[in-house]
Amino acid sequence: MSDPIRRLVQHLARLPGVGEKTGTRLAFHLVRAPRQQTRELAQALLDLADRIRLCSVCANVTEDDPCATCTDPRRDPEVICVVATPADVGAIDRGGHFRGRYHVLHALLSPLEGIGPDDLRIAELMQRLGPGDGTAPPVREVILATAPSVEGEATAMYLARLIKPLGVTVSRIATGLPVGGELEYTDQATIARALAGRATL
Amino acid sequence: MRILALRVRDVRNLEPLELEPAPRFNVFHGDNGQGKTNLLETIYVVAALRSFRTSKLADLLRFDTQVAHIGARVERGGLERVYELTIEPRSRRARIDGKVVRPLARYFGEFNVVLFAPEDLQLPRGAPADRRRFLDRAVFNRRGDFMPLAQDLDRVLRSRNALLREIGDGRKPLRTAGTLLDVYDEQFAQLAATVTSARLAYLDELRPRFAAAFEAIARMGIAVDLRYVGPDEVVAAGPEARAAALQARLVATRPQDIARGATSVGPHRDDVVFEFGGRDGGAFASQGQLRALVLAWKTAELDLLTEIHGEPPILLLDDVSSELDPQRNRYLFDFLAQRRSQCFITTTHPRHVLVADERVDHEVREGKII
Ligand SMILES: Nc1ncnc2c1ncn2[C@@H]1O[C@H](COP(=O)(O)OP(=O)(O)O)[C@@H](O)[C@H]1O
Ligand SMILES: [Mg+2]
Ligand SMILES: [Zn+2]
Repeated sequence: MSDPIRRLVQHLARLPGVGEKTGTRLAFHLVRAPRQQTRELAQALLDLADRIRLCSVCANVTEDDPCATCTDPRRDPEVICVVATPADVGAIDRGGHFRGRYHVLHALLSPLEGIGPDDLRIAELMQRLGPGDGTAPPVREVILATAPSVEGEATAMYLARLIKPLGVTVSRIATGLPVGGELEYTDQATIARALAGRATL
Repeated sequence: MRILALRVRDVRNLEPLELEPAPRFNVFHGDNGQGKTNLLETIYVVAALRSFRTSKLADLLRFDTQVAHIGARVERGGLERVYELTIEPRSRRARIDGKVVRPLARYFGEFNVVLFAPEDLQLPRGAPADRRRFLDRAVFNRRGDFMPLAQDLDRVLRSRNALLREIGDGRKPLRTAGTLLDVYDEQFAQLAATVTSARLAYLDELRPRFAAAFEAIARMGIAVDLRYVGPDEVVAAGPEARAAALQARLVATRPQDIARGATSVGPHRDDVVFEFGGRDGGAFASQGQLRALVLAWKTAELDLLTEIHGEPPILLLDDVSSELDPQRNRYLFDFLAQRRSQCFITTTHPRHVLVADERVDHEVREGKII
């Protein structure tokens, strides 16, 4: 293999879900693709590297720091919704029901994969909950919106232990039946959880 | 419930198979190594999405093939459903009525298959791990939410152990990792309590039926029981207090757990003892009595499931007759004749299978069902 191809394969193979084999396949695909298309891909990567960064407040991906969400005066600065990934911010925000701010952890605790608290953006979150410089109002509530998986639950429990002593209200998103889902096809673990988390009417 | 049609492609040594099983007794006979157990495994796997012989479903792939398929059309309470499983070297896909099921937990609860294998007969005297698996298989059929719970528990256990090792070998100081370990203690205690409670509740349901069945089989007037063995205060606590009891225990064993890099209490260490006249049957009962104990459990398990679900489960009986004396074998088939379960029975000698009516025989030879 010639050098540029080998270098590209090396880089592609470092991406999650891509190995040597897929990397090679992608590289040769790009060799055959129209030159313009490959140049545009390269430019998109350059723009990503040069223009996209993590917001210094909420750690979401952004071009401007702080990001548009963190500076939006119509959003309640006293409520922070904590999520695992930038994609989760998109998913929650698309509904338009949540009008507070976000915080992106970028990972969930997982001792099995060697991911500990230092690998999550927890220090930045605690910074936001601290006394601050008096210019921003104190945070009233933190909503933990990590997945109901083993890792998501552990992360939520860990954060709750750190945050509660600060006197900030900590809440957990409810898990349960999908709206419009057929009860008949819902697994029993989900039904059990939905029953445990039932609300009085 | 019963299987109306079974379709198998590239599973172990089985030739492509389309079978419309009879509603009651399906007997498969043949020499050793022909594929009889493989056929029962196929049925078990399409119902439970796991095997009783291996922890890796990929082992079921016929040598040198990349994809296996099992499909079963099942009738239950007048309703028909098609369960399908596709196995590939690194993945599996489950469908109900053609729709991919995600999460997999959704697959469980409606398709109940009980396995009775010759290895089971040694259980009271065997390893605790085998008894735990045996118990958990029974609980899983009883309640469809058990498997995902047990899987989550296993993941939390491995997470906690990984953290214990990080602390133990100094990669993480306890001073900073203490809160993290508290979290895994709490998460483990909650799930472990739920799993323990499910096992205990199951044994409570099974116990009277087990004792009655044993008396019917052995007619000895000896009291038998099933005793769950775990930390006393955890077993004695009610379901509400069980998590707290476990958590207290984890705190007490923490130094030891850190030194060993393993969690020393929990469902993965518990056991169930077959008691015989107030003693551990594994240590004191004769071979024949041991077999009667297991036979009593299995018949009780079938009756319990029938009562709970309102439908008799499907029974897979793998060459058990060769391990039972004529009298116990007679008991087993009289019992089955009086129930309504669809049975898949393997044997080396068809005459071991003591049923005459509603019976269809097949020979299994080199993976072919004839
Ligand atoms: N993955 C596989 N692919 C092909 N053949 C297999 C596979 N796994 C096991 N076998 C074969 O299946 C046979 C054993 O079948 P089994 O059902 O256990 O026999 P029995 O009729 O005694 O119950 C052996 O010949 C073994 O080589
Ligand atoms: Mg066999
Ligand atoms: Zn921001």
